[in-house]
Amino acid sequence: MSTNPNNAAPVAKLKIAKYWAASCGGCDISLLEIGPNLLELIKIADVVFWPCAADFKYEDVRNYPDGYIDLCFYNGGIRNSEQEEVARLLRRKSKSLIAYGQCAVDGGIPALANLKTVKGIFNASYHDNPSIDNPAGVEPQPVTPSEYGDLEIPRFYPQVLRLKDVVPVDYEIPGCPPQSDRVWEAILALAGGQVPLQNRNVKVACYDKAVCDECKLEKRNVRIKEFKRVHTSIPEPGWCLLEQGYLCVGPATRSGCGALCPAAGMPCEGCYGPAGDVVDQGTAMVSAIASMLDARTEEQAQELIDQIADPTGTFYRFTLASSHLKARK
Amino acid sequence: MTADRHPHRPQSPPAEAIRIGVFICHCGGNISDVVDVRRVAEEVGRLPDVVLSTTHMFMCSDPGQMLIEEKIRELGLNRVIVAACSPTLHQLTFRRTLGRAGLNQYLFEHVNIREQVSWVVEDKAAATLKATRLVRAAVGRIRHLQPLAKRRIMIHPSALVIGGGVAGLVATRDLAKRGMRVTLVENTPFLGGRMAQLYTLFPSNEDAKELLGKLIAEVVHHPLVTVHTSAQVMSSSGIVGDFRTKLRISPRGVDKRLTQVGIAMAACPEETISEYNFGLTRRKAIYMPYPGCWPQMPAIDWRSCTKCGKCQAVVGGKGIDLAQEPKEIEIHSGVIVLATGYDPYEPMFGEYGSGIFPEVITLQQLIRILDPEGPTAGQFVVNGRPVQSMAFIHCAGARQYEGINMPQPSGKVNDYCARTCCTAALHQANEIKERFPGIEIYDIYQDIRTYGRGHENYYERASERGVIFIRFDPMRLPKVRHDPRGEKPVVIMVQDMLTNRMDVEVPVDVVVLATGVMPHDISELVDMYKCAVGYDSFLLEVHPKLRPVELAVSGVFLAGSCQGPMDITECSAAAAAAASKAAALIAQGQVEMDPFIARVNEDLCSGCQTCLTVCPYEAITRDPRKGVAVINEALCTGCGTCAATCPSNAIQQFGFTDTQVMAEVEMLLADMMPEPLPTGGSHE
Repeated sequence: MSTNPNNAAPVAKLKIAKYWAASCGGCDISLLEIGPNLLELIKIADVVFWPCAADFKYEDVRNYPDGYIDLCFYNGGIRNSEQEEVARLLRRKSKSLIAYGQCAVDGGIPALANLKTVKGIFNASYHDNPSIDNPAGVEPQPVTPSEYGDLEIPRFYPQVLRLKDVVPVDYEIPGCPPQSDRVWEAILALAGGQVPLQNRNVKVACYDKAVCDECKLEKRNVRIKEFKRVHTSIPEPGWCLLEQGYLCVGPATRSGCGALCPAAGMPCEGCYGPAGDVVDQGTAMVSAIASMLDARTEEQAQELIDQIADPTGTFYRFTLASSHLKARK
Repeated sequence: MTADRHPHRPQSPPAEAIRIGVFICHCGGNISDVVDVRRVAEEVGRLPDVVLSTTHMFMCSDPGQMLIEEKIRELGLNRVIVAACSPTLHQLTFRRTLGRAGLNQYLFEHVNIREQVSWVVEDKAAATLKATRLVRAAVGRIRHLQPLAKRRIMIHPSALVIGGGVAGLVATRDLAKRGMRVTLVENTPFLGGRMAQLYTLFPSNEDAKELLGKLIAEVVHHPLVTVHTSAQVMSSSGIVGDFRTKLRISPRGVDKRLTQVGIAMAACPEETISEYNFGLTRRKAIYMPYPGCWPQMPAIDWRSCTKCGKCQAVVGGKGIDLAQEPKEIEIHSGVIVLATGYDPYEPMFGEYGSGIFPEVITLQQLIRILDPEGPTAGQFVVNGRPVQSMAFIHCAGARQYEGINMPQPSGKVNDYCARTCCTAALHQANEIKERFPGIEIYDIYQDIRTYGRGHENYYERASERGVIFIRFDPMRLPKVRHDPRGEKPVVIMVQDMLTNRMDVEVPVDVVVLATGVMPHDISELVDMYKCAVGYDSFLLEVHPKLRPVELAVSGVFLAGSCQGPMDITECSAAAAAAASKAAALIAQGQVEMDPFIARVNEDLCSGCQTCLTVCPYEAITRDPRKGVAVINEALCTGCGTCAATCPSNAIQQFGFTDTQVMAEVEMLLADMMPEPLPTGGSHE
């Protein structure tokens, strides 16, 4: 309960915040995508921090009393010290901290960089890359002495972490980006008190079952004869993409999206992370595929497996930070 | 909106506290000579929930088992770990021990620290560490075990026997005599199998077809027996006690109303080689292999029949129907007996002149020639020429050597002894000497293996009757060539080991290859019943001495030469053994099965159907209304394939849940776990 300073009459309005860390900004767009419901949102809530949409400073947040924010949506993983610092700050200031989007939940696309060391990433970003002209070999330094004193930039972490790796998280909204209808339902449930503000890593705005539950394509119970890619051939409409050999990660991916991609003839990329209580989406999918190969011998199986381009990027595209693979040392 | 309703999250521990007893076996010194068992007991004893950790000289002995029972009662243990030999040896022993102490027998973990540790790890420190880790892993897992109950499956009191040769017939007869309903399935249109192609039998010199006739009569007239000829096994599902087998029965085309058999057969214009006479003669598309065959009526071979209708026309259409369609039936049976038999080895082109000289024949062809009912009415004539001299060459397609003999399509040579051919060849040599005393016989062999009772007599008598034995070196095989002197059609060039490796040339009228045996091609049945197959391609029993006629698949038995080369005596003994094992199983009325089956959590199943594709037992179907997978518990064997495959963790297998397995892995790796995630910056 709080008072809106812009209105004379006190109303019961929520305070909401949104922050972006190691992410692309799609999550901010996805919240805007609730469309006309934004007007409903404004009726029930005040935005007190949202760097993407409103001009607030960290200083404003520091000045709020602890627990001032009711719902804080944090999108993006933790790639550097600034993101961790803000995560800790927002945790303190928020009643409910919600990991919003796949980067905050399972590391998302930025976490694929966990396959490289910091040195490798810097090498690709500042030295060994055709688009780079850096004859002096300059690299960003966390501390740069100057006549005005030391200048600091955030420190780059050895790997991308999930939000819950640095602070306790109440709810997780998976997806890249989260589907806005589901997000709006979750906000209403939280705002309406149907679920408590405090909880522990509970996934909302999604379902337990895998994408196949929402997918309308027909299963024919055949084994995979070859792997195909969408830029080399056109799938037969109406038939399960995985059975046709397109690497659809739907069977190992949490639903909630409405199976939009397979409906459009594109294999599921796994952006909602693992289904049910599965921890490691990649191994879940690899086990499923291994059993589905139309191979009688190890050689035949190897031949099929060799057709899979970029296995890690395919099976862990959105979940490397949650995987058993962890990170390169 | 998904609240916290994950059914497979670590189960909350049961209300009573977990009290684990760990019992570590010295196995005499088998384990303790290498593994410091006391140290293992000490280390494991420090783990939480471990109430007792102790060792014993022989845990499987009566005092060892008594110790476990006592401690369960005395300390109120509710989980027991025994670290000893392989679980295949004594898991059941210790489960029963738990049962006697009043504890659910599935609250038990067996750790193998003998075969997997002390027998394979030489370094004592490493062995002790490995044993400690394995026992520790069991502690992790056993905390999550739940009491389970055995499954009971009623056994359908009937048997399906596949194969209508002598083994299948004996098995069928014996099962029927014990009051079991038996369905006998034969692939060809006639019963009798390979035995029908023999003439007299060793060691009794009885008439094969007469003996076979008696056996067939016993079988087909038994009220509990149903025989299906021309029947193919299409698919099979189910488990011990409850097999469902689909048969496809090809029409015979002929029924009992056909009386003018000879006229009908004569009218047929289509001819093909006679399998019965091993290609020595030709037969019609409507045929009977031999006069006394069963059933006593012809069959139509649909591969060579053109449905011209001439046979039908000549008998006025009575008893011949060329328009019959195959039909499919399902047989419900409690057990299955495989009696699929063997095929004689077919010499390759050029092997000992085979295919090049018509005078090179196989032992099977010789037997057909010597049969008075055979193609030459018993006259010893080959290629139109009365035989005056002949030679046997042993081990054709048997006891072969890589690099010397030509391999089979599988790439392997038949390195096994075919066992029956030595005695069979000598049996024929004696037969020839008796009936045609003037014929010279040479017996060119690698070794003479007349191993059976009475078999050696054939060798002795053959020697007495003047059969000349020449022993060849398997590294220098005899060669069959055109006789340059033209006296005889062929000459055998062989180095005789018995006369100081002298090169010998043997000109003869006919060369008989004492061909070995190969398993009949039953690859479809092998896939269907998940049969174990030996290196020699014959079916493999569970244990050659302890369980000699059982397949690893419960409820499936082996009878006869599908299991390896056997003579008829051995086939009959094996078939009788299979029948009595099968009957004993049926007599139990029900079987108890381990409860480790898989189950679907409908709240998590997305209906992706991956499990349907992978289940080898067709135990999973899809509930179209709920859109989820459903496991038929009677068909589930607990192989775990679906549980491992399910990408949603919606399938869990009792006794091997993810929680249990992960706890086991975590404890196994407890001292090797990676450091916690680095937070805070590196960014040098």
